[in-house]
Amino acid sequence: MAAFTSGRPGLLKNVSRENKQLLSTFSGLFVIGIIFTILSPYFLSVNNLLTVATQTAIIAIIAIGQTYVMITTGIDLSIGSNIALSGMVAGMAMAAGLPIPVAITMALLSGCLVGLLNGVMVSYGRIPPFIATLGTMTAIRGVSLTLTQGIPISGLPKNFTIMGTGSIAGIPIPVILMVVLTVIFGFVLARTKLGRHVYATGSNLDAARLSGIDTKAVLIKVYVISGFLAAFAGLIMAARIISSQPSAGDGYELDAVASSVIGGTSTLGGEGLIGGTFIGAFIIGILRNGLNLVGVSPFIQKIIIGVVIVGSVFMDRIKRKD
Amino acid sequence: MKRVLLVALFVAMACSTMVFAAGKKEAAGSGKIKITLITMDSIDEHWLKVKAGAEAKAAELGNVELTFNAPPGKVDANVQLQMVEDAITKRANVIMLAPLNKDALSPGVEKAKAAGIKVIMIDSGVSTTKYDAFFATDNGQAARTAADTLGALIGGKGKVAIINAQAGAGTTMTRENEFKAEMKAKFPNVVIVGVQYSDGDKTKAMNQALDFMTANPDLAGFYGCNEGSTVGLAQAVVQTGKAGKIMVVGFDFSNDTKALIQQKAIQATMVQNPYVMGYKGVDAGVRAVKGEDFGGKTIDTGVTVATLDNLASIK
Repeated sequence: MAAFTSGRPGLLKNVSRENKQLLSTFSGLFVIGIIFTILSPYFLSVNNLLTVATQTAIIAIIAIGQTYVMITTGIDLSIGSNIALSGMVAGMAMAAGLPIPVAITMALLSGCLVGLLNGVMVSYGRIPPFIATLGTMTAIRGVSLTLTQGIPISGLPKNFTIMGTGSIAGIPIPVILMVVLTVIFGFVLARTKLGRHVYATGSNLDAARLSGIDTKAVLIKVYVISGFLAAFAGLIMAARIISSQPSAGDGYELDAVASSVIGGTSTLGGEGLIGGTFIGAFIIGILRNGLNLVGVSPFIQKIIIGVVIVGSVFMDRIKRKD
Repeated sequence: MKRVLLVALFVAMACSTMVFAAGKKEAAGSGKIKITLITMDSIDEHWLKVKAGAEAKAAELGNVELTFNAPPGKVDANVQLQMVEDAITKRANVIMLAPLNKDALSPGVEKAKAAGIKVIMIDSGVSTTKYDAFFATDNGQAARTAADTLGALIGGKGKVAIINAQAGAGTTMTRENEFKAEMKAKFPNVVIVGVQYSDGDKTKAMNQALDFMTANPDLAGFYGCNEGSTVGLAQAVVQTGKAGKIMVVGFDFSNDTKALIQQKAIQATMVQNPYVMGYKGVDAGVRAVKGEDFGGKTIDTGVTVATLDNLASIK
């Protein structure tokens, strides 16, 4: 790897480091893929890979938002509760007879609103992100339970559930949505002014502010993005299981953190790539699927996934010392 | 210093509102029999039906003041124990409890009894015997019925996969273990290919079911140990076009399970009678306070096998 990068001119130094990160995460995924191909005859088939992609879609989508937040040295713990809220808002709106696009818009707005609240608390309120989003995590779970007194909404309309169960040209719609969102938000982070401001704010908040970046606005935007994506994932989840659950998404925010971290996002801020997070989500998704196919006990699976999360960050640290 | 004052002020305000609210309730409820119902969570439809049954009996009796309490979502026996202690402090006459953990809640039950409170156990047991009555489904019996039903549906042979809820929770582990034992005894040609734990999360159960079907293309049957697991795995069966081809036997009843039975994705589900638990539980509590007989200490509230044929009669 060192030989690969050392010959490059200084101008491309940053780009090559990003590619290096992506390459190393991807090679991890590749190795896991090879292991499961050897261990299970069912792993490497178009059908199973589409199943994995569908299973991973929700985690990958929320992990994009978590990556934005983590680059600014923050964390969004409210994602799981936001998933539930979005499903409940959409479910209630549809049960009340509102058109599906209106219900979807309301759900996405509810997610953005929670994100706005998080962002304002973190930027203007100067509340540490862990605390602010821990608060909304709890409160928003309470809101989604209160909406129907804890009762799930079942029998969602077919035109809505197609978003989670349908497919276009053989590719499941959740997978298509995941790819589209990854490309859009990957582009925004890598190629736009907002993206550069997110990195700058995360690398050094004071320096970013002194150089004229409205860091408060940047912080609010990343939490709104995370809220929006959580709500989007909530819609897909409700559509997939054809009902809105107030208990949905419990603990999913931690899968999002794991995906980001495996994908190379630094918990110290300033670093992270949507491509890396995407691969990180697939590492977790493929691990779960592959271990299930091989028939590894669910208890052992937890141990393996835990080791992979810490191990990948540890490997990353060693590589950076070189 | 400022911050300390602010926090103190806030706490004082919060306390005074609570005391005020409690005081008001106390006055309104004087002379009534105070029953506190504590369930495992406030989400699962099972508990909402227990609550509905309890409310119906309380309304029928008239002189009962029913308070409902449950940990908000997450499985936490400590929170439940605090709720029991709160009910003791507030001098409830009866505590109806569905314990999350048989050991963790035992001291709470004993403390309540020592304070002269009648304790009615609902759904799951505790380690101590110091309670007044225990209303529950015989989960072992229900699981054996599930095994008999599924074994017959798949013709006594083939592969079966199990999706359970929480690893380690007494009720659902009984449903898993008794099912396995019955299958082994009555249908020796049935192979159980594995067990996964969904935590009752429908999306997780669905993903696990998809993996079971991929790893076992010739899977003959699925068994779900609670509502969330059953619905999630049945949705996976529907969405892979296997409805009616893979036999599904599950647990519990909800609008979702009902719809899936109608789609022929679930062949049978073991329906407990949570409404009866709540209804009879309140009745027994009131009778215990009055010193009347209520028909034995342990009462099986039974299980109904819901299928497409009897769907209309299930509540």
